[in-house]
Parts: sequence; C-alpha cells; structure tokens
Amino acid sequence: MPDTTAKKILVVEDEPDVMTYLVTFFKVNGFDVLIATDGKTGFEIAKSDHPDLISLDITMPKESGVRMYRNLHDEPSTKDIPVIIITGVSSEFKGFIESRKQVNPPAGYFEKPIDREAVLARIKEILN
Amino acid sequence: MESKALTQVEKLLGRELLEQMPFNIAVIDRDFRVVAANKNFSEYFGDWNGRHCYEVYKGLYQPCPDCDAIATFKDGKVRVVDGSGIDRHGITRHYVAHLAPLMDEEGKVQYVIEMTTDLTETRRWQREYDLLFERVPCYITVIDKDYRIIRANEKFHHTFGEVRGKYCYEVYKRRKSPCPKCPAIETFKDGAEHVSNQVGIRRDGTEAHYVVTTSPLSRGETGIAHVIEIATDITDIRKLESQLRQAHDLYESLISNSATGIIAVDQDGKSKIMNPAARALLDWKARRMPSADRIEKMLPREFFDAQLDTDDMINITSGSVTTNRGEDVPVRFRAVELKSRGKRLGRAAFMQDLSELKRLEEEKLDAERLAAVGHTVAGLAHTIKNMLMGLEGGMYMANIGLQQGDSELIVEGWEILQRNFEKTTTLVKDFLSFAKGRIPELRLLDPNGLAKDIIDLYRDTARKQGVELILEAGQDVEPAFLDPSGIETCLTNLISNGIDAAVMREGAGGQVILKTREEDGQLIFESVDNGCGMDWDVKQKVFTTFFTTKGGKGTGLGLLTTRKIVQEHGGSIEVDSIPGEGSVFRIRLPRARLEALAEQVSSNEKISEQELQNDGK
Repeated sequence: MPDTTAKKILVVEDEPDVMTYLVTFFKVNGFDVLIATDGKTGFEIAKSDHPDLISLDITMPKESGVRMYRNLHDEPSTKDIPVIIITGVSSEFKGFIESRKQVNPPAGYFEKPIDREAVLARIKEILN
Repeated sequence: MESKALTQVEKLLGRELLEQMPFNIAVIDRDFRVVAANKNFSEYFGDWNGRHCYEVYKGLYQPCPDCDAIATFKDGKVRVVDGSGIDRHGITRHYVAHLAPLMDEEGKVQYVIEMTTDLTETRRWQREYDLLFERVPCYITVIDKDYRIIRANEKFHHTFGEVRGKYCYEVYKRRKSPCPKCPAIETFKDGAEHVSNQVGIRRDGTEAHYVVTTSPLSRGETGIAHVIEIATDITDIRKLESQLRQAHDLYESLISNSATGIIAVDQDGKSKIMNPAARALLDWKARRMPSADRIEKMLPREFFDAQLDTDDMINITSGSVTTNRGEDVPVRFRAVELKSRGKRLGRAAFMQDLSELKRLEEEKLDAERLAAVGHTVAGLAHTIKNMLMGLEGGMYMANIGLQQGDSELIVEGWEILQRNFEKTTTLVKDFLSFAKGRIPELRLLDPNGLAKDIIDLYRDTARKQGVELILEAGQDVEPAFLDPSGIETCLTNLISNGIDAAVMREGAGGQVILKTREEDGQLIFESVDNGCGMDWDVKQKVFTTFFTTKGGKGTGLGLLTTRKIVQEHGGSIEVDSIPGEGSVFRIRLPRARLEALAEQVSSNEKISEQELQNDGK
C-alpha cells in the first residue's frame, strides 16, 4: 500500500491532541507528514520543504491561519501549494475566505470534527 | 258809575298786569321813546325814563337798522323776534321779543308794546347741550319712526360718513332693511330704554363694535316720534379682549400639550392648573382639581416647605411623586414661585416622567448582558468543536491501534480521550458558573477590602512562582454596590492571568499590581503586570472567544467570565499591552449604573417578596 513516491502533507495546528490525531490519520493513509504549531513556523516550513498539500487551522495564537494563508498566496514558491482548511470556526468563515479577492479560495474547507472519508477523498482528488 | 267803576278796575288791572307779568315790558311811541315800562324791565335794562328804546336796549344813538318795531308801527301786526342787547350791567343778553301794536280809535298804531323774555340761560344750555351732543365720545343719532336719521353728532359723521336723508341701518351697517334685534324698534314700540351689542361698518370699511342705548326722545300723536341712539364704541376693548383670549389660548395650548406635567396652585394651596400630562402622571381621572390635601400627598415636601425668592427654583433631578393610587413615580421635579408685579400668586410644579428613561436604562443593561451571552455562545461552539475533534481523534487512534495491534497507538489514543474528557468536564463546570446568576447580587462593599482579600489569598502562590503581588488601594475609594463573589472571580482571573504572564517574562522580578481608584464617577480596578505582554492579534481575541494561549491548561473562559460579570455590573473591561513589557487590564464600573442596578435589584426583590406573599394566600 505505501506509495513509492509518498506525498508530503504539512499540518499546521496549535491544539496538541488534534495535531496527534491528524498526523496519525494522514500517516495511516500513506502520507508523509510535516508539522507546525503556529502560522509563522508553518510558513517557514512551507517555503523550505515544499509540501504537496497544507492542512491549516484558522484560530491559532502567535499568527493566525488567515495571515499564513495570505503569506502562502503572496510567496511565489508557495502560492501553488493546495491548502485545505480544517477549523472549528463556523461555516460563515468559509464563505468569507472564499469570497476574498486578494487570495484564491482554499482547495478544501472542513469543519471540526471532520468527516475523515470526505477529507481523504478531497485530498486524493487534489493530489492526483 | 258802572262804567266809571269799570274804568277804575281796568286801570288798576292794567297797572297790575303790567307789573305782574313775568316779562320785561316796555311801551314805545312812534319816536322810539320809552313811555312806560314795568319793574322787571327797569331791573333788567336799567333807567328808561325819557330815553329811546335803542339807547336802552342796545346802547345805540340811532334806531337799529333791522328794527322790527318800525314794521309793527306800519302794519299793526304782532311779531315775535329774537334779539340781543345789553343789560344794565353792560352784559350781552339774548331774548325773545314779542312786539304788539297799541292802536287808537282810528286804528292807527300809536304805541308798540315790547315784551322781552330773557333767553341767555336757555341759550347757554342749548350751547352746552350742543357741545355735549357733538363732542361726547359716543355715536349719537336721532331717528324718526321710519328709522331715518334726522340728526347725528360729529363723531358719528366722522366714523360713519354722510347721513343726510339716510336710514340708520344704511349708515351704521350698510344694510337695505332694518337690522334684526333692533333696539330702536323696541323703544318705538314700548317707549322704554333698550341696550344691545352691535357690529357696524365704518366709512373706511373696518368693523366697529359698539353698545347702543335707545331712548324715547319725543312723543307725537301716535306715540314715540323720535328715538335717540347713543352708541359707545368698544372696538378697542374687543380687540384687547381678543388679544387676551389669544394669549390665553396660546398658553393654554402650550400647557395642555406639554409632555411635562404642570400643576399650579394658588396661595392657599388650591390647584388652579393641572395639565393632561400631570393628570396622566398622577393618575388623576376626576374632572375636578385635587384638593389642597390631596396635592400635598402627591408632590414632594419641598414644593410646600421651601422658601422661594425671585428667580429661585426648586430643582430635584431625581425625585418622585405619588400617584392618586399611592404609587411612586420617578420624576425630574422643578418648581417656581408664580408672581405678577411683585405680588405672589402661588406656585407651579413641573414634572418630567423618568420611568420610561429608567426602563430604557434597564433595557440597555439587559441588552448588554444578552450580547455578552451571545459572544459567549459563539465562542463556546468553537471550543466544543475542538474538544469533539480531540475525542474523535482519541477514538480513532485507539481503534487504529486495536486494528493494527499497535499498543502505543492505543495508549496514545486513550490518553487523548482522557484529556479531552477532563477538558469537557472543566468546561461544563466553568460554563455553569459562567452562565449562572444573570443579575448580580449587589451588596454595599468596600472595594479596597475586596481587593486586599484577593491579594492576601494569592500572595503565597505567586511568591512560589517568583512573582510579587502588590496592592495599591486608592484612598478616595468609596463603598459601592458590588456582587462580592462576582468581583472576586474577576479579580482572581485578572491576577492569575497576570501571574501567568509574569512567570513567562524573561528574567526574574515578575510582579502584578492590583490598583483601585475613582475616576469620572467610575470605580476602577486595574491589574498591571510586567509579564510577556500580548501582540495585537492576541489582544483582539482575549475577550471575544474561548481563547487560550495556555495550551491544554485553560478553557479560555477566564476573561470571558470576567467580562460578563463586569458587564452585568453595567461596566466595561479594557486591555493595554505591549509585547515584552506587560499588560494592564482595567475594569470600569460607572457608579450611577451600579446604583441604578441596586435599585432595580431591590425593586425586583420587593416584587418577588410580594409574589411570595400572594402565593401564600
């Protein structure tokens, strides 16, 4: 089952238990996983390690997910990396971020707690 | 003998008649010489003996140019003429002269008898009458039975114009027929005096209001021949009346429609004015005014007791009046002494109903509380989602561990489950405490005492973590209505946050200062730490969501709860912070609101007490 060319997912999440959960879930499904607990670190790793996909939380201390999302979009080396947002923020935020002119809409938007099958299906769709 | 006796009688009678007649009698001959005269004549014109009549009558030296006696000498006819002469005192006199011929047997006029009656007094009366008639400040007309004006005075002419041959209704009112309710008609009918109010039209077209009196003037064969109409112009009075009425109506309308309740009482405390707003406010439905005793029960004591000088005013910004049913209504109350040209007339009270304002204030407090709950619920959903995610993650990992026989994953998943279960428990507890007690239980407390208790409680704990707790109590801080457990929770939250921040500072010397003070009618609690501080992002979030920077340690409810309690007290909380230097959390509690709340709470308690009593019945 492990792919010869395993895809890399960067998980940006401040909540330790949620982080453990997501990391386990992605690994079990055959992905390589990178982690960051805040937006600032997340952006640095994205630039240096070029993950195939980023899973991003919105509400985090140091630097919010929105700021990181904008930074990724403005940086040429990261602007093509697909981002899926996994957040506790209500669905109204989905409409908000998708309608911004400054950034492209995210590749996926999932509310916590997540529907694992849906997340997996969307990731596969994006990466293939 | 008989004829001789007769001649004797005739002689005597002639002499007596001459003397007794109430006229001045003189007899002149054809040379105008006075040959005989009676005593009246002598007393009137003086000595006449041997003088000419023109000398005696008028002091002339030759006959008068228009002498009527000459005519009578010629034709022997009786004449009555007006004349004037000079009496023995040299005063001009008016008289009527009656000239009669005395003829001899041949019918020739030998003498003329002149009988004069003095008219000087009559003339004077006539002049006075004319003057009165013309100049009296009334309109006077004399009308005949056909209502034709036969005489009118100057003032009438001046005001109503030419009258000759016109009917009175034509001139007075420009009518073509007699006026209805004409008092002159009545007077012609019954000969009595009649009075009535009329409106005429002046020659300039303006209206003239007058009161007219009609009196019978003279009688003819078929009753009253003439009526005199005397009319007094009251247009100016009418004008004043109308101005007065207008002024009255204006004030009446202002008072009636004022939203402010207005009551005026006279010197004896009797109510004279009570406008609809005052009636509504005091629940006074009766048409009559309340008695002095009633008014005393309704209005504040000061209204009756206070001494008021000119320009003084009783001004009670937060007072109350008592309605007819005995209920107190909060009002802004003002009162002034009513005076007219220095004379005291009574007092007036102005009452502005404040119950609506109080209600709005209460509604605003409620709305703020609701908003606080709204924010809380939104934040709560977020926190719960995170915890659900944790629980789900724990289960997932345990399941995967079981499937793959990976005991490490099972343990890890189980730990996550446990942690999130505990978090859920804590959250539920915090939330219950957060959600309880919508209205704070207010007691009059010393804010400094409250602050000192909290500092004492946490001093050792802080010291163990290397943080100093300091109290800076303001000396001017007065007791305030506060919910003790609520404010304790707030201060505990602020201080423990401060301690956490101070612990995270780089280097030793961490401290948290709790300050109290008064500022612009607000009671202020301030927590000042020299800890790590917060950047803009964090500052934005501290009060708005279940936000925590403490990883798994906090539920994010501390500051939310604090803010909620502060808002329930009608206050606000704000934060100043510089990353690396520290934060200041400031609670502001406006004293006016605290007092309003205390009143509200106590009245609610009264109501619930009443309800309890009612339930008990």
